[in-house]
Amino acid sequence: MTAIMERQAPDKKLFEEEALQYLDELFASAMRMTRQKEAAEDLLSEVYTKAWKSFHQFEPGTNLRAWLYKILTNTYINHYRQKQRQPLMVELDRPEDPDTGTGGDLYDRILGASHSPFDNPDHALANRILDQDLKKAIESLPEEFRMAVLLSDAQNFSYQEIADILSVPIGTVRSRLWRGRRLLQKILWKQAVEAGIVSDNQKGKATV
Amino acid sequence: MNCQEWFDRLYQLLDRDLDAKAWKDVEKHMKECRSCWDRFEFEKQLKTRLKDSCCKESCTESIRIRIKAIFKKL
Repeated sequence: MTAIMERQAPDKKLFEEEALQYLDELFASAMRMTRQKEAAEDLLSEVYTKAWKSFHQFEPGTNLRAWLYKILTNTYINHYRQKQRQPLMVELDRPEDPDTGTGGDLYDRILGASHSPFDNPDHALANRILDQDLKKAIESLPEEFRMAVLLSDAQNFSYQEIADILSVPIGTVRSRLWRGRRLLQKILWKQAVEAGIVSDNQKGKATV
Repeated sequence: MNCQEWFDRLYQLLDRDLDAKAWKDVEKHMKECRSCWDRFEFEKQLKTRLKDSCCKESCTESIRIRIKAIFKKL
């Protein structure tokens, strides 16, 4: 037994080298989850400790990055979420139809009601939204949507990887991404209105 | 494929979660429909902006020191 354990003992140096390369991106993700630097630091400390403790279960050659994200999301959901203030409540109207997603999101607002093939929305719009507003919008998303959007858009995981990380069926990933992105656009629009950049009745002529 | 059918697959297209046949269909529709093409371009840019704004955040020196200290103790 001891011999087997010794033979299979994980290599600490290897773990350190491999796992540390993801520190920056894990920290950025932890920040979007916890929204506070101290909490993000505590979360990461716990993630790395747990990762080392279960490193013997990690199969070499499989995706270490996805494995670390699974530990990160599970640790956050199980421990930190309870200690934290509730997610920022987004006072938004319910999407008119969350399944078809029609109405009310950023793009539709920009286009206005006409939706004619000759309308040319300002493609640079997305590029002019400030980093801080994007972060704020992401952080305002309800948790289940926030996780899915972060893992897909920010971290480029595939639907299957996200399903594995969050332990949900792939159909749930698709639906959370769909609704999360619709909601995110509504939040961005609301922020732009509040900042006085666009007016709420503006149609087709957003000057963001 | 009409615009609504295309729109239903927008994010699967954006996230490359389509099989070859579906991929062909949505691409064909987009080449023929300017408004859906514009929509796709917008979503693509927003996705890129999200990645840029959410990921470019280096961890602080204090956490780096703390994690390394954890490794030493392990």
